[in-house]
Amino acid sequence: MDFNQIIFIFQILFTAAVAENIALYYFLGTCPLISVSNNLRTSFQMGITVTFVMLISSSINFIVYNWILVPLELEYLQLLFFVLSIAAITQFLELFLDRYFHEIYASFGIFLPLIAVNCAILGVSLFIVLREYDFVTSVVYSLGSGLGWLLVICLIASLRRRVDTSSISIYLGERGITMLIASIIAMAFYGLTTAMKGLI
Amino acid sequence: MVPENPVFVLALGLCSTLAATTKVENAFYMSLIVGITTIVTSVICSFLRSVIPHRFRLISYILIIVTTVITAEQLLKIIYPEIAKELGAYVGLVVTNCIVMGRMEAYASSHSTTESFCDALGVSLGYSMVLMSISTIREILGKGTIWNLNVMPDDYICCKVFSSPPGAFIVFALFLFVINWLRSFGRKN
Repeated sequence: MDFNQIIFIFQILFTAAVAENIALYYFLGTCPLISVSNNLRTSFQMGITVTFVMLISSSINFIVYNWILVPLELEYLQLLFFVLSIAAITQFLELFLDRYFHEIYASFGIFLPLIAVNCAILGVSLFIVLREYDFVTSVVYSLGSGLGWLLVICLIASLRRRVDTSSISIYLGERGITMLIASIIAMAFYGLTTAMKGLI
Repeated sequence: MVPENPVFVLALGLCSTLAATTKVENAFYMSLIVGITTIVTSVICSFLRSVIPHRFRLISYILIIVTTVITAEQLLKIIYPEIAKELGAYVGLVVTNCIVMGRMEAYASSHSTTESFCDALGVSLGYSMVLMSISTIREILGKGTIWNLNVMPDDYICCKVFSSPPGAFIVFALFLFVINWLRSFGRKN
């Protein structure tokens, strides 16, 4: 692998994690972002689980799409296959962790069923098909997206700890203040991306 | 429709609410798709509720939803190819929209076909109302237009932040504030 390829991979990683962050740019996986982010520890575990499942499911979906659906000309069934494979992966992972790594299962096993309906995971698989990435790029892209999601949920969870101790308007409520936090983080990411573009 | 609005009160289906509201046009088609999917899946679900075994109900619901969404996606691609291109992956993501699944699980699985049709209609009207109002504000402030028609004076400087992602969060938070404020009046009276 030469230098240019490494640069290219880093570029994809940066774009997926920061510049076009899956949560703040495409608004995927916002439901758990708003509802689960009240504790830093659980948010971190949730983020790790999402990253892991995203990585596995998008590589399997890539293989399913390019090796099974395209030769059979069944591209329009992609949604059905993606949803089924994500459900199967989460189910399988749950059983596997429960059997062999019980400690890990005890710490994030409860999040696995929730992840089956996380739109970020399905979204990444669909984006990979839409943009016609090759295998390496799609693996890097899904890794970057997962890490970006992890970063955002941890940031929001840490900021919400400050919110808990301060008095906010009762009309805004927990959800509203989380939305405002998300918008401020989104602006910060936006600014960072612009600054990086200036450097490159 | 209003007191149990899926987006504001229950915080379901946030993804599409935020993503599809940069333009009124997109929001309109998005709410149309979500509405049709909710109604069709609820009706099918309540129709088949005595046939579906309880243990396999979630997987059967997912299959019903996926089939409906694939049909809707293909129809959209034929009738409005440009809209389908602009909405992109979000049409497929209706599958994971919690509103559709939530209605099936909470209402359609235990009520008659007519009742669940009315319920789904109400929920999707509430959803589209939210989508349309958010997108109207964002399009007026961000681009100075409604449905691609100019409504602002020519020297209006577009406030780009409202058509970019952070703006969606801000407008949503403001909406939440106003709605909770109005609800508090209702409670006092």
